[in-house]
Amino acid sequence: MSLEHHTEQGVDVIKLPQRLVMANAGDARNELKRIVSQGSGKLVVDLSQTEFMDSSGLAVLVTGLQAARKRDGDVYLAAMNDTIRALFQLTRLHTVFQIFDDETGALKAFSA
Amino acid sequence: MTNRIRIEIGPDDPGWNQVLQETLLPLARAAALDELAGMGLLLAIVEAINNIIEHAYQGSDGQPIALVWEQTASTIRLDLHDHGRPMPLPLPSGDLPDDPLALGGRGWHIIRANTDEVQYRRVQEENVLTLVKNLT
Repeated sequence: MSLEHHTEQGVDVIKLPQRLVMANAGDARNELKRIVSQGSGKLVVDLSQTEFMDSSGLAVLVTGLQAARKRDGDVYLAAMNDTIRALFQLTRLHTVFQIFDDETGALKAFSA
Repeated sequence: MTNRIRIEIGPDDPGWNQVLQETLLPLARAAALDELAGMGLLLAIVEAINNIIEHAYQGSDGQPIALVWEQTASTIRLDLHDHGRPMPLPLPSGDLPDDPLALGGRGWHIIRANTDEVQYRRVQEENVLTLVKNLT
């Protein structure tokens, strides 16, 4: 698995795949940790292409957040669909992550 | 009237949950569940199957799981059959982990939040987990 990744204004931006589930969560976790360890620790995760996520996918993002905060960074989430937003609310992870409507808003928040 | 379908899942096929989505979401819509409720039920099923792969089969490949979807006027009943290790009882309560940054422990919360009833039985060497979603 290869996450789409680019850097913008010193912030790593990654795009999650269409599905982030148990079958691909291990690879995604490793890649996310690598990106965080090699970058600034500031990360925007774009979920605009992601249709479905299970608790394994949530764990990937929590791993990324832990890695980023160890570097005094953070992980901002952008462009999640209603289903995934409901999952974050159900698991109360919406209180842990900052969630933005789109990637631009998340990048602006890092530069504020 | 009762609608009943049976799906065999090969858990070593990484696309199994997409197959479930393509099969079950139309059934959920036909049962008049709205999009969020249908996706919630699908998510509960996926979490239950994840548990079977991870715990009952301990991650070993190629082990069969069967899903039976049975819909009546008032409920959707889903029976998940596997031949792995028995599930420890009592079933998990579904409480979220105390640590909001815990890496696991959310699956049963998702299952219970998206269903109305969960039952488990062990029949001979088979586990049967039943999820019930009320339609009324």
